[in-house]
Amino acid sequence: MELYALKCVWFQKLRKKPMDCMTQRRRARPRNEQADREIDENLKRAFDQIASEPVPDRFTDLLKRLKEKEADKTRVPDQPEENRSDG
Amino acid sequence: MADTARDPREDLVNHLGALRAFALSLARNGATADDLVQDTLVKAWTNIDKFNPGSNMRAWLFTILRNTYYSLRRKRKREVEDSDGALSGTLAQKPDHDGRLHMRDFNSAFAQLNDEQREALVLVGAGGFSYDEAAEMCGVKTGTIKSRVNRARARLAELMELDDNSKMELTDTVTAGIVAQQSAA
Repeated sequence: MELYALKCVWFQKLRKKPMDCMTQRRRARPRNEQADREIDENLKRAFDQIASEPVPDRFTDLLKRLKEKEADKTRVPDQPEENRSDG
Repeated sequence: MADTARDPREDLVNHLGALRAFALSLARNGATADDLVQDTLVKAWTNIDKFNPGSNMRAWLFTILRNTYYSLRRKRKREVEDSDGALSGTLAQKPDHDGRLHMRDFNSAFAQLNDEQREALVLVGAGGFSYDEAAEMCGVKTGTIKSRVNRARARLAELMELDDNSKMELTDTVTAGIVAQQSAA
């Protein structure tokens, strides 16, 4: 394929060293499984590291506020506190 | 321990870390990522009736977050046009002495993927979701997710010049690179 030949030339230029086009052809299509695995492993490590960082107070506070708001909302209808008058 | 009658919202706190990691991988900016998490939490809290208690809460939350991100992106695209320049500025790396891309360049390589590819790769490669689950979360066909993941991996390998001869020297620098995005923003 023409495109293929072009790619080989490009690779040669890029690497600045002689390269056998046939070997390049052989491995250009199926990607390196190990590279894929390493990409995933490293991505996963990065992801897990961020995920296990202490969560900023901003979010736990937000959840607390949402919960309080919810509690207020449900408490309003029966208003048990209101029955206790000061007098 | 798991009480079936308990409010599923009690579980939200267990997904905060994963939500932040996912948000960061999408937004590539700590401030935006945290805003996304905040919006996601509020939406999840108020729409908890739409959550099926037997289903995967993390998947549900991630879906809310990515939908929030994409609608934000649409909005911002209209407002700001310089987002590209700003990003590439912060991501600029000095070339290495031997000219080969190194692990800290994983960060820049990762940033060159488009949002859809990055999202698919993170969900499947790091988030532990199946292709089917990721497809459902993204509202596309399973085959679409597969090809996005493949293209993302191929692009990363290409950018980092990973081939049979070069073993990936990815170590903690990768992690550091991605984590650094948080404080950088």
